Amino acid sequence: MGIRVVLSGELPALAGGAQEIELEAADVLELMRVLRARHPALAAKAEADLALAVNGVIYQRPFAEALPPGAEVCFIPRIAAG
Amino acid sequence: MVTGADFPQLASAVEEAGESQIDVWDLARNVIARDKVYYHGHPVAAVAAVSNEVAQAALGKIRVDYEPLPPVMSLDAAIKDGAPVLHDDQFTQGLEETPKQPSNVATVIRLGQGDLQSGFADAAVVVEREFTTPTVHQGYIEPHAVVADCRENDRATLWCCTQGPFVVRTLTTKVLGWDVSRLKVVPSEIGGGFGGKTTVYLEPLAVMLSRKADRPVKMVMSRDEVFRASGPTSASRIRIKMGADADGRLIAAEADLKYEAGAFKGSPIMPGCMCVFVSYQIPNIGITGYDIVVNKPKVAAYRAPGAPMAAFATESVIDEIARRLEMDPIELRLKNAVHEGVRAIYGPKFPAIGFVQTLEAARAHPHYSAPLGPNQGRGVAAGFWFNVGMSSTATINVQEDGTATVITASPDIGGSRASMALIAAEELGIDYERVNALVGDTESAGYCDVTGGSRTTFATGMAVIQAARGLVDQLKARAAKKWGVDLELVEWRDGAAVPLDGGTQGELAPLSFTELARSAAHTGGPLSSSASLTAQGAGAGFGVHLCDVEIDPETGKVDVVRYTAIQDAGKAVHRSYVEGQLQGGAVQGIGWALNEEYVYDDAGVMQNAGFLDYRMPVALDLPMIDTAIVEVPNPSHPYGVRGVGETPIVPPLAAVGNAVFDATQVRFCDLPLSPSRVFEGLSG
Repeated sequence: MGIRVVLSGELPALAGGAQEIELEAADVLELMRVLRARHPALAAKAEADLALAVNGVIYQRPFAEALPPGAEVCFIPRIAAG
Repeated sequence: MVTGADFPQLASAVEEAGESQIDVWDLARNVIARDKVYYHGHPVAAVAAVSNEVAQAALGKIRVDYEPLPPVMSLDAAIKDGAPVLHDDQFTQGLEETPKQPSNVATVIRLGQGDLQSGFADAAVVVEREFTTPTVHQGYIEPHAVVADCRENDRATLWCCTQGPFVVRTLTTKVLGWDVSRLKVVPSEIGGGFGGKTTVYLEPLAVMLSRKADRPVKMVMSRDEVFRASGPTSASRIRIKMGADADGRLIAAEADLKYEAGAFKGSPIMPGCMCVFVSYQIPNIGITGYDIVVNKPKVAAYRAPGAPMAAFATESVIDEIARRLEMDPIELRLKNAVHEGVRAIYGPKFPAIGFVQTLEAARAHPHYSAPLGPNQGRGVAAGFWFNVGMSSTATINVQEDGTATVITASPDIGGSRASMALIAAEELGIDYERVNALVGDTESAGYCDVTGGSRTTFATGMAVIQAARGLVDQLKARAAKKWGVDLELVEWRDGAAVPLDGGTQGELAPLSFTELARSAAHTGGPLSSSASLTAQGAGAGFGVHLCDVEIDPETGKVDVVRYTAIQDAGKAVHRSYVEGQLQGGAVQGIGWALNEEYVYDDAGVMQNAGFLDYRMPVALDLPMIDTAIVEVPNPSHPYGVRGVGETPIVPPLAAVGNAVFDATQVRFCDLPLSPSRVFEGLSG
């Protein structure tokens, strides 16, 4: 079962207008490899300054976290707080 | 003496620095001006001397050739046609086409979903209003203070009050152009930070002065300097339009948010946009945000950055919609509240959150149904903050007297040492009094991000849990060896290694933590355990505040006569410190609502840079702030902990404003609600 990447805000513009991307990835490392190949602008933005949510759980600094089959992944701005 | 010429020219580059990303060249120019001074209070030179008097005399001999330019002191002034442009190289980001002319608008952000036009067309009630909030300061009691000693072979030691010694090390060395290994930062006790001590002001100057003087250098800001030269939070102008159907379901919402960044780009406009409608399920949303530079100090983080102003606008309009529909304001919020599985406007679906439970607790609280007196009114408002995780390290060392020392580099601002000690005691099964929690420096403790983002009990606490569990594994292994049994036949129970039943184990007495600590040198050496992690899955926090005010119709003075802050803490590790966070956030928000604002003259000079004229509430001004803690566990934390420090400053602005409306039937959209403003409003 694949991974569903949901894009919002300015991000669809970095992925050819797509609001959702379906792909196969077992973990965040693989997810980023796939995105670098398919949507390099989105991958660059994500690696530069975005956090990641996997099924709603926010990973402020994602690295190699496992992605459960069917997971929904969202990129969101990293929050700097007080 | 040092000036900007003593510091390296840096390329403009956004880099990872502690909890956030910063443009290091903006930071360096904010620390000390180069060829352009951007605000009154912007340092142009720093002097060290053998005494204050000599330093003052030296300052008097410095001549600066200024070419005065017209200051840009408001959002309106910054964006009007022909406005003086602060930065010739700043071109608005976020537009479809990069503009050809520089602008005071650094960034434009757009978020949205659904179809706004049809949403508003279907609405039975639509409310549209514009709100403003002034520049306000974090108001920590202790001013910025630092001692630098740079006598040791081009290395330096800094002692300073900060929310994060490692971020001070990162930022200071970036401004100096040094490797981080040349600087040791020792955090002192801290008299409040609230986000304002997550950056640097004096630190690079003190290091450079010490290096030139070859002596230690101490720098302390006066209160006047804290106001003029350290980061406040943004003034804002927010236009909100919301529509609901006749049953009270919100169906469309539009917001236009403009936040001041101060002299350099980087207001909290992004979290403002993300938070403005985050608490409610609204199918049709349009949000536009503007990050705008003005000739004021560069804004710094302030407790839930960007969220209180946004919530002031949204929660005021929600209150008005409830009144138009003649609905109970909590009932309206419950009807639209986000919950687990609902998609947030910024992308992901919420995991387990406690907004509904918090609203229900507010509705059930005796405060909500208590009668009101003459000239009194009651307001309700909700608030949200993300909370963050980030990186932390914890070390636990066992002493031979059976005590444990917990070392982290998370400065203790809200009682985190007590929470770290409680967590370690819980895991080790020993008395809290036998755990000593310390805050280390950048060379004696492992890396920790700042104490900010409501992260310390969540993230550093998680590192303490992991370190303690590693220590328990060591203790069990020592006991197994002593007893000559397999490790699997030893468990840790109530602060002791206990042999499991079976075989000869029944003849063995448990070995307590103290006994194992005493014998550590003879069973393999000192007992110590460390854990480092990047904590993921910070749980969002929701709060609901109830506020009763009494208005003096003759003066317009607003007194808060009763206040209750209700919040989901996930799991309150130290209940009274959690209550303290709720109370402190509420009081800061009340000050923002009623009293606080930077007042400038036409030349851009702040006129009220002291606590006498910049009026923050003190204990005599307010009633006891009542609290109620809701506990909906965060599934990503072993105990269910959520951050609690920032959410409580989000609801008060609107809670006070809604209470004033309830008392007066006048909607005040501009803060602060000073006596003169309220009196004028009451006078029509």
